[in-house]
Amino acid sequence: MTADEQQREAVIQILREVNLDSIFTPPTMKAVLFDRMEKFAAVYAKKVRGVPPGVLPASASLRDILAEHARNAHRVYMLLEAIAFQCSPEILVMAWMVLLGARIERVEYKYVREDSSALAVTLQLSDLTTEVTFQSSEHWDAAALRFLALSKANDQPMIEGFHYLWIPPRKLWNHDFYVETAQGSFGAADIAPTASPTPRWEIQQLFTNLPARDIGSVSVHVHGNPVFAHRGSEVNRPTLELAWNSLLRKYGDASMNQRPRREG
Amino acid sequence: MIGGQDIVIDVRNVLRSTVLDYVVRCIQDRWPHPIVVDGATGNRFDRFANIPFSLVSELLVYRDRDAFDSWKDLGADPQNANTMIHAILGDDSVTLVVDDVAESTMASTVKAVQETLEPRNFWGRAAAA
Repeated sequence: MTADEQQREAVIQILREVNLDSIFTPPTMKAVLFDRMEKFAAVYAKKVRGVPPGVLPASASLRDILAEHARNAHRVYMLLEAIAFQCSPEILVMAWMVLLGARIERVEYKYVREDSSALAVTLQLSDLTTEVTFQSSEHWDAAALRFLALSKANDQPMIEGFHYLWIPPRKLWNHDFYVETAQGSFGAADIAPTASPTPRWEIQQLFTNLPARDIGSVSVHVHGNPVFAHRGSEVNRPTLELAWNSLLRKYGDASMNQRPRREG
Repeated sequence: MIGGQDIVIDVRNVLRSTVLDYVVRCIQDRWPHPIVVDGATGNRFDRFANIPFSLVSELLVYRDRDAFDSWKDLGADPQNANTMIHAILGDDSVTLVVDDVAESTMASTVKAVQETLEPRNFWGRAAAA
């Protein structure tokens, strides 16, 4: 695997953390994602050239984004969500600058049915002197308004920045099983190949204020016991077994030992 | 701190890495050039962009470089009152430690942090319901 492929795979892993992976699973959508990220990096590099040195990082390449994920996962989550909402590279750059500390000074949005959708955002950078304005007439860019972190300061309106939205784990909610236990909530999704007669359950631990965490999978066999494959640390093994036993208790052997029926 | 006061804000439904991000943003609105120090490692951040919010759980936010230097020289001296805010992120809450919550900048900062985090906590709970 080349370095570029490794970086792209790492981005796909991050998409799983925010339940956006199903959107970008088709190869055409993957291409859209990485094309958008490249264009975003190019627009960012161009915009930052006009900014005093040291105020903002010089680049926003795929490598930079992955490094930022290790330090500030929520910034990368919001960026990827904005890409999923089809925001243009220009507006992605605006959002990224805000996530890196720029203040939102002004937001103007004007919509005329079947005619126009115009967004203009003015930022003040952290040197407190440089202002940068972003404008877009692309209707999908209005989706950026969904991420605004509204607040108040002394009863006056304030937008503290952009925030990541919690997107429910679509696959788990729509298709398979869910259980709550004293040790946490878990979801199970069948990920066995189409031809398989028995399910292979991918188990995720679900949190209210953190992204879902893959803890492993359980493969069901026609004869013999299920096979557990925990993901990552050894501590996930007992959690995986606990989740599986809780699912069995809730739904019964018959449901968990056969493949789920799915619509469509 | 010089006889600090604790303000505890429930953040159990707020994405963890965003909590101190919001806190520092609110402080920065009042203190435009803060010096931020990781309470666990002592690492100092001159720029908001460089703070690794996913990796920190305790921040000392000084009003500016002068305040930082004064704290280094004098420590918790009355002269340094209300020039630093200590933010500690726990499992379910964030605690702001300030010298005098009635002092105007402190009062306004604490209120802004509450007005920013409390709705996020409520919406987070609603989204997860």
